[in-house]
Amino acid sequence: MQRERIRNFSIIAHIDHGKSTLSDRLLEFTGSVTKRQMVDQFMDKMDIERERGITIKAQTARLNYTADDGNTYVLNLIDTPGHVDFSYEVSRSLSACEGAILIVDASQGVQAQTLAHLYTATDVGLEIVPVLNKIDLPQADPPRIKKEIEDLLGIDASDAVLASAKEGIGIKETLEAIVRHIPPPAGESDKPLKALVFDSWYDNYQGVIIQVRVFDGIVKRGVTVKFMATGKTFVVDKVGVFAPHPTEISELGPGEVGFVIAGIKEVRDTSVGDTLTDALNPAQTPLAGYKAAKSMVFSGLYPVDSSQYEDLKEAMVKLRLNDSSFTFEPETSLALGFGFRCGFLGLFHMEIIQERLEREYNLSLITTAPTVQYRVTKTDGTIEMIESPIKLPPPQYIAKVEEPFILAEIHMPSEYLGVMLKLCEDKRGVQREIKYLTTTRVLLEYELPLNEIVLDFYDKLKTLTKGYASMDYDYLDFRPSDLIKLDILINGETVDALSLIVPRDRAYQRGKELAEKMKEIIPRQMFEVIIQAAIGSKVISRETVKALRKNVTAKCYGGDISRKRKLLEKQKEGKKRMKQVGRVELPQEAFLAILKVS
Amino acid sequence: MPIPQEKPIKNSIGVYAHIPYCASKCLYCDFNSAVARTAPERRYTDCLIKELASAAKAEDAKAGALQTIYIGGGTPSIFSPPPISRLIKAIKELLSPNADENVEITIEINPESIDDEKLDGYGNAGVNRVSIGVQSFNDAMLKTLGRIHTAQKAIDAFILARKAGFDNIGVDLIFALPGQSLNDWKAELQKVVELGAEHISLYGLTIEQNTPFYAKYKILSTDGLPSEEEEAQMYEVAVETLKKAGYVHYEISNFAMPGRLSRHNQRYWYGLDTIGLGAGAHSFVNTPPWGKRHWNEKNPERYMNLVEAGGKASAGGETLTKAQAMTECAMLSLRMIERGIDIAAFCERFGVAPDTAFKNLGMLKDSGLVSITDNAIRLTPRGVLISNEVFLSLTKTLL
Repeated sequence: MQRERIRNFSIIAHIDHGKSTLSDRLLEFTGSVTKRQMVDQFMDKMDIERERGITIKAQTARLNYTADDGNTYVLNLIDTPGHVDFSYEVSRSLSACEGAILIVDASQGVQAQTLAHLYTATDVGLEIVPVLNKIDLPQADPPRIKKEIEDLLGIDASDAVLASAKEGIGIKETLEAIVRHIPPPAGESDKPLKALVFDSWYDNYQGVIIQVRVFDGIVKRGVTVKFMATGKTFVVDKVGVFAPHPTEISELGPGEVGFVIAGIKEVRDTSVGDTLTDALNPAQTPLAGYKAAKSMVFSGLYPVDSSQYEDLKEAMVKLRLNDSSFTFEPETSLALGFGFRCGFLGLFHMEIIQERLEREYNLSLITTAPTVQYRVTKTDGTIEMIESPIKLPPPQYIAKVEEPFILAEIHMPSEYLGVMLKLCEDKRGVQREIKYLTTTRVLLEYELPLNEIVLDFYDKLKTLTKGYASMDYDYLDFRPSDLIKLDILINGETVDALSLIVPRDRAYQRGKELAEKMKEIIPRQMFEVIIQAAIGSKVISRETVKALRKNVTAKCYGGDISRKRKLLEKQKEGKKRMKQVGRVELPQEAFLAILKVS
Repeated sequence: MPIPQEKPIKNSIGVYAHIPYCASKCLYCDFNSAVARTAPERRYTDCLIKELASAAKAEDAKAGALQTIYIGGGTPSIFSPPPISRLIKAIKELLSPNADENVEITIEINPESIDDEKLDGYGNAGVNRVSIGVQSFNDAMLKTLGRIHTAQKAIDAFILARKAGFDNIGVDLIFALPGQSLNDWKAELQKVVELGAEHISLYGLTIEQNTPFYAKYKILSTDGLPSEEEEAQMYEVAVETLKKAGYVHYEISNFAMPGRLSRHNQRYWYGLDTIGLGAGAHSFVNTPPWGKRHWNEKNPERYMNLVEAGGKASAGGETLTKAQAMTECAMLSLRMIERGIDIAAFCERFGVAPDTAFKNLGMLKDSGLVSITDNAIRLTPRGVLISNEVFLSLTKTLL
């Protein structure tokens, strides 16, 4: 492969700005996928991805394109995940490229997500090719958006491609721009192997498949390779490319993007961002920028039906094969029995994992309220990291509790500044900066407790700004906070799985709101259900779900009998979504009630 | 007329014949009924008899002696006495030619479709029990329900039946009607006690889908319907009033003077064999291990065509699993207020004790919804009022 004829690029876009659609058009135009094979959003392979219109795993596709200059180029499209929870994965995918297409919605303009990714892209030195998408929409305003791109991003947008991926407009122009503006990769084939691992997943037949971008050297079958961060070595069985269907080739040289299969059993041996080298002729230094994946949000996952515990465990082991940022360890709750404490990159990641476990492994699960990791210094001087309210020591043993803070960058039209400032203050934020990017767009920087973010911050932000604000965040540090445990009692018994760690000065308010919300969520039962919120032995709020008074079938003769029994059987299925805690049946939503408190 | 014995007998057979025709459709009714000015009584009766002939030949039906016949509807009393007589005769001949006089034979009658001649005719045909669909003794309520008779007409029908010699008369009433107050309901109860009915069925109004009531009271507005609390009080006051008047509260919706419990309906709750004849009728046989059920085509015209062509009109059926049999046993036994689940009988039939099969039993007892003695498990008064919840809680732990 001639290095000069390779272009490695990624697509940066805000959610819904048309990344998947444009990817599909590029595949179609270059004949990589025929129209008949084309399922919308070819690049998003998981059902969940297609339904939610997002990308969770990075995907790559190798496209052959004969340009106007008469040469045939190999274009490697590296599709990146598109959610704030997956920023690190995005940065690694971008590092595998020399350039990026920046898609901006021609009516909505630049969004915070775009900005955050673009910063990452320029940080790793990528050439940016702007594309204005959705120019077919009546509210599209290319001149205004071009100016905004120039003002905000400092990029020359005069040559920006005008496209409508949906209508197939501007596709060839985009391909030409890639060839012309994105530089070919550098690298030397006789240097020791250096390849960036930017994704990996488990395949039932082949074991772990890793996606790499070769910077120097050559990787081929039979070579013993070493992961520089984990130190593990494997012998390569196969190398290949996604064209976009997997195709085995003899070797991957400098500048090339493809997959490596090497008898690897676990994805955990292959951290994203790690450098692959030749074990016999290793590189001196790894590629820069490696970070071990770190769970930020924790919650309990329990089977509604306790007999599904082993099934859940097996399913999680399988899922972790594919997702090294998802962690779990056994946890026991008095109320819910045996389950697991799980770590996630964020709330979105948590939802995805739960949904996949339920859908792909046919489980019915209770997810407890998400929490962050607290640093607790005990009176004897020892330090414990606490990821579950159940594990918080009694107050008399606690000298200090610290919670993680993040730096949030919130990007929004200026009309929403007032409501966003109020939201950030309500969420215990510390303001760093208000930056007017243009007369109508503001960048707000706030230091916020991560715990507030994992609850409902993101949803609130979207609601309050009608979806126009967006946010990105980075971990800052641990800071001391006055935090206490808030308990929920159902009919006088503490339900440990409902406990929360909350700031002392918010405890009363939270307890009251939570008890009220639980009252809405818990259906009426055969007896009265009393919901109490308490701090220690002090009850701060009380709500009652009144008992059912009358539910009788009047007639039960002949044909009524099987009709009534079938109804019971149907209702019984519905009850499988409920967890019986003591006498009381709690719906799954009750355990996440805190996310629904307004 | 002789008083039939009260308890259902094992290894016996009951026959239900469904006559789906009505002079008009009531606004709350989702029963299998067809409005017909003139019902095809001869053709339909021929079909009932033909269906019975093939059913009687089936191995399942040879269980035992005929114990009850129940002619229900629809409005069976729009049929004249001759076809009713023919039907009863055929049933007795085909199933138990030597049946004694003790067979309980019921017909449902509607106040507007009855006169003394008809009642005499039914009596001569062998009918010894009538069940009158009164529904209400209040003209305004009757109008709301879309009934075509008046309260006086219902009282007249009762008196006529008595004069015709019937000493086992049942009256059906509906409560929790739109606009009905607790006092209105007390007046209804007073009336039925005064009349001296041997048997009283009280049905809380159920607003079923696909009825004009559903559109009016569920979709448009629930205004006018008594609240859940009022409905519960109406039931409680009924139980109290009728018990005081000497009635036995033997099933959730049924009350009778001692010795006058409906043997036919008890057969359902005891899980005994029934041959169902006619459009939409269900049959149940205790085929080992857990019983079988089948049901007929609902549409009367199609029912008749099927029977005429092949002697049968089965539209579906089911073979019960053990869990389903346990579910039905619990639900039906508990509906019988005084009897409840017979623990010994349950253990013998299912090879497992109720408290092992139903894991929530202890919780339900602790919550005051069921009572447990050495012999039986019963619903408490509070449990009766939310019996659907109790049944669900009991059976949801069955595998």
